Amino acid sequence: MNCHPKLYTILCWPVGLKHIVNNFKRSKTVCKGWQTWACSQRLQSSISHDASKIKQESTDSTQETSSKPVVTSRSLKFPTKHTYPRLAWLESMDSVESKKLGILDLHPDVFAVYPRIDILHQNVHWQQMYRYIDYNFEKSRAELRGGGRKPWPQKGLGKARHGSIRSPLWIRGAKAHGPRGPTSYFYVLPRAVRGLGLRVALSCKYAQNDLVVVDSFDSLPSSDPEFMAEMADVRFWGYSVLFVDDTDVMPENIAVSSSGNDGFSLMPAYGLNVYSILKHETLVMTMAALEKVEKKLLEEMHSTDRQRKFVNTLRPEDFYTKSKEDNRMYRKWTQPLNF
Amino acid sequence: MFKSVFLRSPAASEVLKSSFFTNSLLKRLASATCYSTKNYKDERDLTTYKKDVKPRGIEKNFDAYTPSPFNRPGPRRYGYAIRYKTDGLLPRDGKPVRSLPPYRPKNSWDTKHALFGQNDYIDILGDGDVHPADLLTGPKWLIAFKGNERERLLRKMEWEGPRLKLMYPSEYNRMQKRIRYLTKLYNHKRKSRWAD
Amino acid sequence: MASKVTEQALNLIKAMPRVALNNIKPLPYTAFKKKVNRQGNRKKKGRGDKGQGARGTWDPLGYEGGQHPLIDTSPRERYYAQYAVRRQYPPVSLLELQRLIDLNRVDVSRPIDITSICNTGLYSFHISKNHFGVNLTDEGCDQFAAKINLEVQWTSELVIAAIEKNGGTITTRYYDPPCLAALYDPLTFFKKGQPIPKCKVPPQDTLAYYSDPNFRGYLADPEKVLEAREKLAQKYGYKLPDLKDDPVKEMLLMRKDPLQIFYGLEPGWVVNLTEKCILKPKDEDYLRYYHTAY
Repeated sequence: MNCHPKLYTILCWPVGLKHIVNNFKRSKTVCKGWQTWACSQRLQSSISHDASKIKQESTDSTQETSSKPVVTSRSLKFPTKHTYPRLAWLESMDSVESKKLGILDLHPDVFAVYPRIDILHQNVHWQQMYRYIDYNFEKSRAELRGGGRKPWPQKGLGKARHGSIRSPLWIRGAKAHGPRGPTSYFYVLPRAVRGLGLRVALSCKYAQNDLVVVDSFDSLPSSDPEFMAEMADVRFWGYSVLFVDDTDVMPENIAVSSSGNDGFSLMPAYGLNVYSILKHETLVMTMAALEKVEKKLLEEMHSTDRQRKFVNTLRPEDFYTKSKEDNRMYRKWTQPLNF
Repeated sequence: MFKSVFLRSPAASEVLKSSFFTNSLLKRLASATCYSTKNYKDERDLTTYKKDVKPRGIEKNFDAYTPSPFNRPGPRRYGYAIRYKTDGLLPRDGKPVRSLPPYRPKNSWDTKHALFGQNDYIDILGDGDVHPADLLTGPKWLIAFKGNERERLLRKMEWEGPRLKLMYPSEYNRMQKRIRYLTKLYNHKRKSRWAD
Repeated sequence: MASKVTEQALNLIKAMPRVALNNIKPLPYTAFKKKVNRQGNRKKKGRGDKGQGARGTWDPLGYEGGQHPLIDTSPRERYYAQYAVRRQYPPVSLLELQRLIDLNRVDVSRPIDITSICNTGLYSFHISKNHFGVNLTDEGCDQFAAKINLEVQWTSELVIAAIEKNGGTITTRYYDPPCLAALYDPLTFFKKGQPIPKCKVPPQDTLAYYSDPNFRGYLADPEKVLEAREKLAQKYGYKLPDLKDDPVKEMLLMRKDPLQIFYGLEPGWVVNLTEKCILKPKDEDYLRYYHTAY
């Protein structure tokens, strides 16, 4: 799995699907670089499967088709002329060893962006700082107790002149520029930079072979944490793994098994962020999550909406939990009764 | 200091010896600090400070070297008795040290740390209705706001002012005082519009 | 995106340690930003030691040591006279418009006005800078080939000829700044819940332009506009397409009322986006205000 997946298919393909292998070989000999895009187009026309079809096959005959990978190809939106789509294996979660269900096209604008480490740093710094509130507080010389009186006269004692025992020069005096109260470090990173940050993080994961795409998490057979740990061990996943799914509610098996292991986290697609991608060593995404994330990032990239500056419109009224009491009814009773 | 004065003058020691009580006291003191024996060659008797013991390996190993007779470490602050122990740490007897905060190691894989940063990109990856600033927690007047101390205090006054005035008047006064000071400072320090 | 450099960089990080929280850092130049304190009282504020530089007593600009200066002898050409007051019209060329149409950024099947041009995201103007809408320029008038109903704020004769040659129609239209704000971003305007403003009469110096049939002004007599169309066709030597049998005749002849700023919406109405309905005033005073020019 260290070599290019396409090369891997040629070297290690067991049996069957000869014409596809031939296609690959032809592409290797004839085409170079970005022209492999045409090859995958040809694949798409010859054998095309939807994501739903793959799921069906994998659920129907998981035991039988271990040696028969299904070659797939996705139709990418916003296609680029200047580069070729990247390829990734589609794996299954139904056994400890990984089974290859097919090959996927990944959009190069999302998974093959220039690795801008500084953009990653900007994003991570923003994530840490925009929520941070510093509660440190130091009393000023006006707020400390005492210190209003002049400790000794200005002249005549041969001592240094002083006006207050709470001056910052004094022991037990105030601090000159101390931390004052809860301080917020809030700022908003531009939307384009954040979108680029996500794309760079995903590209780095893909380039360093840490991105795994699986069909779904439903096919995990057991809820045993040790099974999951063994799977991660056998498949050379890292110590920490981030599982990303499209849905909000995860299947029971993966929820139980990942909660038993340290470093195994679950996240919905909309919760994905640069900090978590970089914190976890391996990123495991379902195909639905992959499609959603890719679609959202491409839409963000190509949108023509005007990007407005973030403006805080919060008012004290927004925090009222209950409406103001209407005391008009009671006022009537306080008035004198007219008999 | 008073010990050494008495011990050096013989007349005083005689006076002291006359009483049985002081004699016994003297003996006890002598046994503790070894002053009465006058054996000044024994360095142990003179130590009223913690000695710096050189490790042997560092000593100079060439033959011509002789230690200087003058710059030798002697009893500094001669005559003072140190009232505290210099022998090392005291036995704890299993009691916790009150000045130390309890040791709480950080687990970087608990829920708080493992999922740090979740939903920070929800405006891009979500449906577009929610902004990450909407999910922030903290003091109400500080949510999604950044400003200097004066701006913060003014905003807090706007949010919490009426409540504080009623419930915590001293806190309210403190804030008023600080705002007054900071506003004066601001007006004094800022660039005048009509300068030059 | 993926140039050779990108490929090389991605290949490079394959063999490198994993990109993680412990090995990311910002670009180096951010650390070396030098800050010069130009304010404060203590030091020299970055102005050097002594002399004209420190005291700010240079000769005035253009001073030639007592000789009668060039700036005084040469005649003035005041390009920027009354710049702050003058109306500006940020330009859009016909070539750009054609490109917007080709890329489906604007819908040809509907009348095109300043809102649809702003909605492409490729054109913007600022009311605070005295911008008063689109100036359609004649660059690319030979390549222009679209049949549209266009409404702009300023044009030239050649542009009008280029558009009418292809069977389209064009109007020049004045909007006052509050109307332009509503037209620039209708969604935020509707969210405010304010009534749609009525468009004011153009100021005196532009009244002649906007009531001129040769510039297809929106206050011009429609019959004279028809005459001017034919005259222009004769002048530039093209045959004016017949609009009678045109399938999109209705669209091409759609015009706004001089007080109206949105198609299908009258001034004074309030668009309620949350309940998705339109609130129309019934009070006679309101109606009188919104239906009269003054």
